[in-house]
Amino acid sequence: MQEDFHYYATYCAAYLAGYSHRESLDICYSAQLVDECTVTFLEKIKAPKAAATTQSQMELMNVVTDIIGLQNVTRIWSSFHFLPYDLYAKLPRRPRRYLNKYRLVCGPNGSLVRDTVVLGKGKGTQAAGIAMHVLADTWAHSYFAGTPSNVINNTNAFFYEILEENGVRIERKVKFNHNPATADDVEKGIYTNSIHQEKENSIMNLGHGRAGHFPDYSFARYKYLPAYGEYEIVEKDNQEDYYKAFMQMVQALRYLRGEEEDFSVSSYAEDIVLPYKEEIKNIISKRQVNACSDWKAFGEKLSGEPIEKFDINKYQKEYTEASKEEKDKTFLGKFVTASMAQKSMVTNKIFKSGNMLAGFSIEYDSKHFKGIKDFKRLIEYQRKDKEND
Amino acid sequence: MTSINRIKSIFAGILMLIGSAILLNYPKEGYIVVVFILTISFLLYGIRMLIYYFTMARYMVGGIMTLYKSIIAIDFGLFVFELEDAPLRLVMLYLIGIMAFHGITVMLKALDSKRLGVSFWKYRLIYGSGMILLAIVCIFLWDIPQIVTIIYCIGLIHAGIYRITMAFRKTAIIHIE
Repeated sequence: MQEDFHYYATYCAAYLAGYSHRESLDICYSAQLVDECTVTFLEKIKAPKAAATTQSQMELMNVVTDIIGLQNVTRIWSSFHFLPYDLYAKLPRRPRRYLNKYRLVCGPNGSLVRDTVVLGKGKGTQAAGIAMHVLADTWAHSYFAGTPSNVINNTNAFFYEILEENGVRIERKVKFNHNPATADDVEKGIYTNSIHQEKENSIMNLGHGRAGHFPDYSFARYKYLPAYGEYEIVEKDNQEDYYKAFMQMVQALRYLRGEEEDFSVSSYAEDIVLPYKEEIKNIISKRQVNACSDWKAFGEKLSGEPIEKFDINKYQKEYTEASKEEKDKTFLGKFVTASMAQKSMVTNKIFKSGNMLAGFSIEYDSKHFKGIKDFKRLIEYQRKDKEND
Repeated sequence: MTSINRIKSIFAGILMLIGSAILLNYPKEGYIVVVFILTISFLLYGIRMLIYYFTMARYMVGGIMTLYKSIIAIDFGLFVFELEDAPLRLVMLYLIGIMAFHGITVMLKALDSKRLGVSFWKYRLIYGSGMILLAIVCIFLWDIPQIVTIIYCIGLIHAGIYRITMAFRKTAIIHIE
């Protein structure tokens, strides 16, 4: 998903869930920051690099696709953008190597979605924002995995956009080009995607690059053949999925706010969103590459307050000028802690399922293992939490 | 192209330039070395693709192409192995055939790149057609082995420069959000 949903739509969902304007801004800021928090950004503010929630194009270009590099890529992308649906999925007669990649395929309403939301409970607006980003992406990025894989993430020439003209369904073959400098032309059906690389672990085979930006367009409806699907056609209806994602965000935020006792997957705040259904569906279904202005207008109408533009520099000074002891209490400090907690949780789950693609995960606290310095602070933070409980 | 791939491409280009220098100065021994390198390369590539097919690609839509590529590569490698006792001219013919085949595949790639809006398709087209032209000239001058050797070396130098140049081209990947 893009800024239109991660920032503005998340603001709207937070407000509908009962958060104040200020709190909603904090939540949506954190949700959008997940798409901006690279190692380069963290180095600039001298924050722990282990808190990285994404990788820039330059960082991806410089990735060494050896086992360590791949594990680092998988940890980031599986934890924040392609949350695995079923880490114990079974497929007959598949080698272990294939199964490990297949089990990282993303999808909504998996058990990890609940774990992500529950992890954010009582941890503040930054953790809530991160959880909303992860939750929303499970709807958009379904059928792709957050690890480089030709056999999982590849697509072929069978790729059709589904349109409707005067109530008649039309399937238009998508023309992909590999020139990222050219913008997608939604009217002519010309879109950009990444070049096919037959090398299994090529970074070009990460995520939904082979489907271009289709998963990130709320208006898109398309059908294609996922590489692992044994020639079964998948039809993706982003309009329906984005609406469900929005309702689920409201439900999850109500839980995080304490309005609901529990959060379970496949639960949606339908009643709360119903009065705005038509308006939301109009925004979602409008054929535009960027829906920021529409979501912004909707959000400002809801709250009556202006929604400031996302500014990555907003909280940097607060963080860089804080003392070592006070850093964790700043906005970015809390975001860093929450992102490390999310990454830790997902990596641990992947490791416990017997899958080494995200690397080792050691329960530091129980094993008294002197691990990576960055994660030690997470342990201290969690210990303080337990003492307070 | 990632950093490591750029380094590999530059290294391969330099090897080709060195290979052409060796071939020019020691043609008989040079051909055997070139044939040996090609055999190993094809066999390793083919076996790697075969293992990849049976462990991963056989479950992928369109994965059968991996099997075809591996079989063709292994066949090429084994065929070259049989040329050890063949007359030198037959070896040269085989190498020229590979040069022409390489030129054709690069040209097809260039046309595909043009269709997909990739910027460096013209360079690829020039390179591919250059390789085919050199192969044709070699066939025409077949009776003069020394000239054929020189032209083949020009082809190797051309390929080496191409690899090194391509290593420096800008590539962008689609950024996922």
